[in-house]
Amino acid sequence: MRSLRAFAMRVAGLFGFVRRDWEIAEELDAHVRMLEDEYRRAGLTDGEARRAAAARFGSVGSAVGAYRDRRGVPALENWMRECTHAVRSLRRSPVLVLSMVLVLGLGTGTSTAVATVFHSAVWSGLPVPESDRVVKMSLTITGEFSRHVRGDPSRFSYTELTAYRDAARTLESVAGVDHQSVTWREDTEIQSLSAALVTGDYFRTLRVRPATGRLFAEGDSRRPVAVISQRLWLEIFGGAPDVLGRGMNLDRSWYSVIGVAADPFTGTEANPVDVWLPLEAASALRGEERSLSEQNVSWLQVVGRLEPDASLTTAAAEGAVIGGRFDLHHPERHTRIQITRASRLDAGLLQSRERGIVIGVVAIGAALVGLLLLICGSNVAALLLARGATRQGEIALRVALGAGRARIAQGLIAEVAIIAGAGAAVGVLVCTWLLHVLAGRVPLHGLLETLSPDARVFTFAAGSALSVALLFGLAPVRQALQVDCLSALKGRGEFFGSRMPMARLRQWLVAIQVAVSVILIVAAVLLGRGVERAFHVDPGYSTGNLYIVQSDRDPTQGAAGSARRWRFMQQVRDGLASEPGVVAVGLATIQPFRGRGVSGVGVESATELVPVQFNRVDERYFPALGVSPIAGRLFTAREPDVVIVNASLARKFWGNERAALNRSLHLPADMAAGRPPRTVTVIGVVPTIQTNDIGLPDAPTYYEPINEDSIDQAALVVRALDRTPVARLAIDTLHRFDSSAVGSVVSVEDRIAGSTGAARLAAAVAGIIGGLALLVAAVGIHGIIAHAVVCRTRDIGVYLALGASRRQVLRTVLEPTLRGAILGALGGAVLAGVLGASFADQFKGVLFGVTPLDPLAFLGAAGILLAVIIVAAYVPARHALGVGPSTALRHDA
Amino acid sequence: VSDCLHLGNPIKNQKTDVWQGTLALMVLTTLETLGPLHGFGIARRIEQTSGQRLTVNPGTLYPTLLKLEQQGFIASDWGMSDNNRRARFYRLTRAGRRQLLHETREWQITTDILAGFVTPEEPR
Repeated sequence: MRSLRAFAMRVAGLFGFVRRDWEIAEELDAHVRMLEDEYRRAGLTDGEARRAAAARFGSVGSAVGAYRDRRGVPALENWMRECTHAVRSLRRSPVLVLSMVLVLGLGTGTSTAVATVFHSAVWSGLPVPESDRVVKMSLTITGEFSRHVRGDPSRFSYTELTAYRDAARTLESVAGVDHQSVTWREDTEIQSLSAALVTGDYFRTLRVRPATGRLFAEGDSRRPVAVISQRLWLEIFGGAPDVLGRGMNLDRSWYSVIGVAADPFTGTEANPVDVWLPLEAASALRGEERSLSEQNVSWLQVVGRLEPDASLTTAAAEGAVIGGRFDLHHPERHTRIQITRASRLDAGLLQSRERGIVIGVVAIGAALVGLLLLICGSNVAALLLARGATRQGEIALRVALGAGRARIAQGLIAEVAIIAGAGAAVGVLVCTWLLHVLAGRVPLHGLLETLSPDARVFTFAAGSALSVALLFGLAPVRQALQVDCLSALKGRGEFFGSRMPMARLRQWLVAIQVAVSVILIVAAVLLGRGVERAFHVDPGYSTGNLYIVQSDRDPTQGAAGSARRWRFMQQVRDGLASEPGVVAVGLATIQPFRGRGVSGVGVESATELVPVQFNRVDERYFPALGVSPIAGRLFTAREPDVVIVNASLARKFWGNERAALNRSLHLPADMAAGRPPRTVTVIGVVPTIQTNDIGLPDAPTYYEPINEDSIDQAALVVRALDRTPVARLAIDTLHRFDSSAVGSVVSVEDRIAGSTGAARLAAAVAGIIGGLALLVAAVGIHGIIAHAVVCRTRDIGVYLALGASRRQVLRTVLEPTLRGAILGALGGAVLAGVLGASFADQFKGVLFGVTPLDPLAFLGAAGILLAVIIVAAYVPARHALGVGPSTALRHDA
Repeated sequence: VSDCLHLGNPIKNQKTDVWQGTLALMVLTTLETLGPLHGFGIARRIEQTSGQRLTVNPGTLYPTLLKLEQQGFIASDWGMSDNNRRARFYRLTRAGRRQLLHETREWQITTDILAGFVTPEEPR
């Protein structure tokens, strides 16, 4: 405390609040006078007394010095003086300094923005208390198995969830969630809400607090109650307190609102939840009670909270043991339970099949940011070198006047620090602006809208600006310190025709910077082309005028329910097909771009079951898509024990499409559909189309005829003519056969657009970074050439006076820099090619079929960059031509 | 800034670290005994108390006074000396009094401990 106070006083002293200079002088003077008085009293004469006192006192100068040093903070005072000096000297070359500040600002701003996005998307926990103890579980199942997957295969079944909850000792509580879209009917109006069907422990696990009313307690799991989000409460119910006890008709069942979950909690997904329902009660009311007893199905996301004394490692070890027990009745299967800290991202911002893409995006983003900072650093270093060249005279003078090298280095570092500070300030502005722009452009479930720069952002910006500037500023400082005093003072360090100091280093810096820019621009062009391709890629069928119609299930259970649904779906299919403008309507359990079925199959040539994908479709599915068989035929209605395979599967097992016909496939038992293992015959082969990831052909897939057992999940695939009001027709048809049915209609194109969110984010980020790389390269090269022109004005004058042509002069000024730039562009292109080729697999998900070696991207990137560089170089170089010989020769700088 | 003292006779020109940090204690004790005093008076008093064995260097004394003031143990103001000279007078603050008690205790403990090691030389 005392030393803190003392330090504060010293800082105050720095600014003259304590002991002004005159006070120090007067106090010490009084001391001398009193000494004199004393000697006089002892009998000395005035003169003798004065001399004796002076001798006794010692050096007044050193006493004043010691006194002053204690008054302020000497080290700080030196820095302050150097900073003042630095500001003054920076003001003398505004263009160069502005270039550096801009370059640093753009670089740090962008990297800070990217870091902020990734931080909140990837690392930040859920907005709940002690979010670092909230974990999520996922299953990885390998070996021989067949399993029904709703959403993605890492999810649990209800029985697995309860088994896990009962066995887990490292977890305080475990909860399951199923996200669904429900239709809320109020009078005659219908609104789609995002619902989360949750087990009773959900809110306790997440420690969410109610804004009003109460959240689910243990006894609520079988009661028709609902908790709504604060957003829904405020926007739809106007924040009215009487919302409690209100009934809501959701998917034809009534729930009574018991509470409101307080903001900022909006569920475990980035896509905010509007209403939470008890899983067990909602399943019963929705006629899905069977799913609670099904064992071999993936549909529940599982979250848990660690016990206070448990760690992620102990929980993971326990998960491995419990996972093993899931396999008791599946000897060929191997189940692992993975436990990770719950973050917004893996909580389902993107489904798990997209996680690979997201990790790719994160890696690309991080790499791009690193490269961008590298460019900025080398740019600043080049500009500092250019500046250092003109300052040799000044430095030599200071050295000659007795300044130590340390002191001069201090001055140079102060300059760099000031530039870095200004750069960081610009960076914060750039970052704020970028986040704003990104939020408008990239639809990531409202994630970006909630981002705002905070203290961490500022720290990151300042830190990266300073470290980049200092790291890359060291070489120029070294260069400056190696000044040769004598020659620098005599000739001001410049001789006619001499190369600029460190020209070679500068050339290298330009080359590196251009090379990295090429890589960044190639990445941006590639990703941009990928996103563009995603909308124009041919998936093997036309996606325009193709719609998916889903309807809710009526609550009848068991076989009777399946039979009713089968009849209903057939009626709707046939009814809709007879509407004007509708070309064909088919049924499929796995809809395009939503979910996938994975199963093992056996063939003669393989001893083990081989994992492939499957779908269950009716005879009109392929006609609705517009796909015709390349060999064999399609199903006829209700044909038993036959199967259609895609070309990819045919080639995988039998070498070519024709050879597949009439071969046998062994399908494993399907518990969910109650089917024993069976052997089926291939009657047709269809082309390999794209229904999982746009731009990527489907994995080997077989198509079974759909029947009553598999109708539960089925949706209609509708092919229509242009301008057919499919949505209206579909809903009307649904209501014709079931007046209370609720349906949804989505176009396949909209679905594709939704699935490219991650790629669009990557493309947007890469585009921005690529653009900035271009800008930074332009600013940097402009700065270097402008400076070179100023430095060499005298040389240019001499050349012109000796009759050199404009071309020769231009060449002298531009050649070194441009040589570096061209070398860099070539090197960068090669490097980008190598990187693209070696990470082709990782980039697959975001490129949508564009090859990483796309020649257009490479030529485009190199072309754009060189064009920009030539313009950036030519503008200052033209000044060189305007130099008159006589003025140039008088020029003294 | 070290509080190094120059020792006067009889061991002249020998600077030793033993004295480091003790000047502050001497200043505080002096102000406690004599009340508000200027730098010259403090120096004089310390020299007298030491039996002229210590010489207080103004280049050390004034920074020490400033340090004590920055720490809040003493305060200062301009005033008039006995023979009508304008001088800065230092006085003990309440925190200074506490500090003096504390340091005195510490010093006693230190000397007690040291006394155990450094026994008076026995006559041969």
